[in-house]
Amino acid sequence: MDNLAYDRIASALRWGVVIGVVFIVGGLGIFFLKGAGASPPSSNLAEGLAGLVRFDPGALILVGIIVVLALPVVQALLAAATYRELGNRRYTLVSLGVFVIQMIALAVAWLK
Amino acid sequence: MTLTFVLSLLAAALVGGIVGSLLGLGGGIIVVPVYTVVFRLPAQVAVGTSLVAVVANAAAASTVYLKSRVVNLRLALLLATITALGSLIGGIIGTSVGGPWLVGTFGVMLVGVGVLMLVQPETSARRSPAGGAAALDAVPGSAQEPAAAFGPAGAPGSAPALGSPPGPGSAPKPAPAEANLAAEYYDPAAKKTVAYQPRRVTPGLALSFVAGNLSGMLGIGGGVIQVPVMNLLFGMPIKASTATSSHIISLTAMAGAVVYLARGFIDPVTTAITVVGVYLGARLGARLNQVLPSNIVKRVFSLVLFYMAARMLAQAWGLPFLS
Repeated sequence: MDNLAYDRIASALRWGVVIGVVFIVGGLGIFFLKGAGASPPSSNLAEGLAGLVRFDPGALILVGIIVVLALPVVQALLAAATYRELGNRRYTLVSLGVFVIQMIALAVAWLK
Repeated sequence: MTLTFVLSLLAAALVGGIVGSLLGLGGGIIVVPVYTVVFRLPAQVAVGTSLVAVVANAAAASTVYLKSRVVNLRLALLLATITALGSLIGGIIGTSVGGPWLVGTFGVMLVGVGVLMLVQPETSARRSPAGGAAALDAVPGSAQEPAAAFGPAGAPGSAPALGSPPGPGSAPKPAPAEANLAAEYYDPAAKKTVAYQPRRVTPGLALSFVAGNLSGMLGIGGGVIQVPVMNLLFGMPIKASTATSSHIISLTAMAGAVVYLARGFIDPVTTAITVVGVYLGARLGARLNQVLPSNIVKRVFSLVLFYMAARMLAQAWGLPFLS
């Protein structure tokens, strides 16, 4: 059975969601606390993340969003690693297939 | 960004979560039209924002579905390959076409969903005591999932409905490639283990591509297609269909979302408010789902969908009235 894969992925998702939501809600809280003093968050990824060193609320939210969007990649890799450990070649390859498409999506996304 | 605007956005996301949950269609079906028509946000920003909320809700729901083993993990991975591809292509289309085209396409989709809601037969599973839901109640961000993730009232569905697994001897022998997709889970409501064998998976791959494509292009979950496909075509129990669809979306919606993120269509604060609002709304909707008469809810909100569709189509075509 695939119980090991179920447990590992469920744990990763649970912690990932918690971490992502903490960043998102934390950033939102700081944004409201700063009120008029808060700089408008940038929707540009590089600019937005640059604000992380200033503890910029927009940057914190962006980190949360990135954590949430990274969860599917972690899932695919965990599934591949676990099925490999279980000796299931077919689903190791299927999981890697999902991972490859996710990587293609990332590559295509940043192609201007 | 004024406090009034922020509170309005939060209220819209909350209502989107509630209504999407009651309709069983996920928050995106309400959030995207309201953001574009009422708040006049660019269509791509509304879709990108909705997609992040879809991923967050589906991931939260999947933790519980995986723990209870209701997800068919092998089938989810298999379908995720083609769904992710559809989501990526949908994301590229959504960020490349003009806003009016996207708004118009969403309007057409709303008309289709509204019609389906009017003609769809009510099922017994929808209002089952343990929070089970009918096929269309299975979309990420919808009634069942967040409640399932964080509260006992929403334990993953309770009763097989439309596609209860065929009994022994009543179904064709599975193809060799499908044999390893057989799965089982314990149903606490029925107090029994439910075993099933998905069949006719190959034709479902094309429909999974369409589901992914719509998700990436329009910012909706895609469960509106995936769940009926698994339930009716594959012959899976509704609970397994719901959970597996949710897990597929948690794996694939990012492929569309990263396109919007990379191209600057995801506004951090709007997204944060939407994620929080839709999540809380979906939980509330899950509770309301148990007490409101679902047939009436569907009919009333199908009219809301038609109204939103009319406004979106009017906006897309530049018509002065409604838009």
